[in-house]
Amino acid sequence: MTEKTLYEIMFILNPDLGEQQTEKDIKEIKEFITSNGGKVTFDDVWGNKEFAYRIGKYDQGYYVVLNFEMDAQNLAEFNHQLNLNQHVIRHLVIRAPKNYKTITFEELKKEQEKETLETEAKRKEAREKKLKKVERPAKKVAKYVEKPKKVEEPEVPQEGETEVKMPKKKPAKSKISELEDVDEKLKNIINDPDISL
Amino acid sequence: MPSYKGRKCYFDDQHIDNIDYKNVRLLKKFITKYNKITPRYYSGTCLKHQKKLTSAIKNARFMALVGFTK
Repeated sequence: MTEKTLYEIMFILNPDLGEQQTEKDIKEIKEFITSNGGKVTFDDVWGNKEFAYRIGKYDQGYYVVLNFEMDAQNLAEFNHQLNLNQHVIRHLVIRAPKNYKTITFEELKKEQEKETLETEAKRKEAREKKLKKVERPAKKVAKYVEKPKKVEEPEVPQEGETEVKMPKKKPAKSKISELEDVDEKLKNIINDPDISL
Repeated sequence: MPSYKGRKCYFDDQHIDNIDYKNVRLLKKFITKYNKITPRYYSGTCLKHQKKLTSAIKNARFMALVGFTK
């Protein structure tokens, strides 16, 4: 009845240790497992990763995931050891469920990328469907749209003509009229006997 | 009134039995924008999976993969 249960541990190391020290710490933890009659079956180093919230004075940490077999009696000691270890910011030991499949961080990332692609494809399909559904009312609108289009075509040159002509005519007319008005006024003033120049 | 007649538990539908706390993308589907766990009457998950989900989210929160609040 000494079936060893499968556990999974994730621990966060101090990000400011440097490569050599982090490797040393990981080795020490692994050695502790093996020395207490355990066996490391799977290891995955996530590396530096930003926290969702601040822990102490740290914004990021060095994540490591290990799967190991161990007796339940030694697990308490292991937990205690990790609590005393000052390089470990946090750790979590979990009993792996049945039919547990180990997944590395990169595989998880790939899966998530795949999911994003699939969701995008689904959204595109949904949009296309929506557009197809909207086509029926669009036909009704098209009839209304056609009329102004027909009107617009002749209107455009008219407007252009008017636009072109009006500024030509208006200022010409206005200028002439203004000049004429001024001339008339001047004549009136000059011809006025009451005003002595 | 919205009809909940045809809706299914997401994990039953996708045949996910063990919910992994490391799979943050999956957990975020069941977290509100204020990082709260969505209740069962919104998400439609069955009780069995909701319990597993909450434990997974709480583990992820402890390891700073998911925030407690926003």
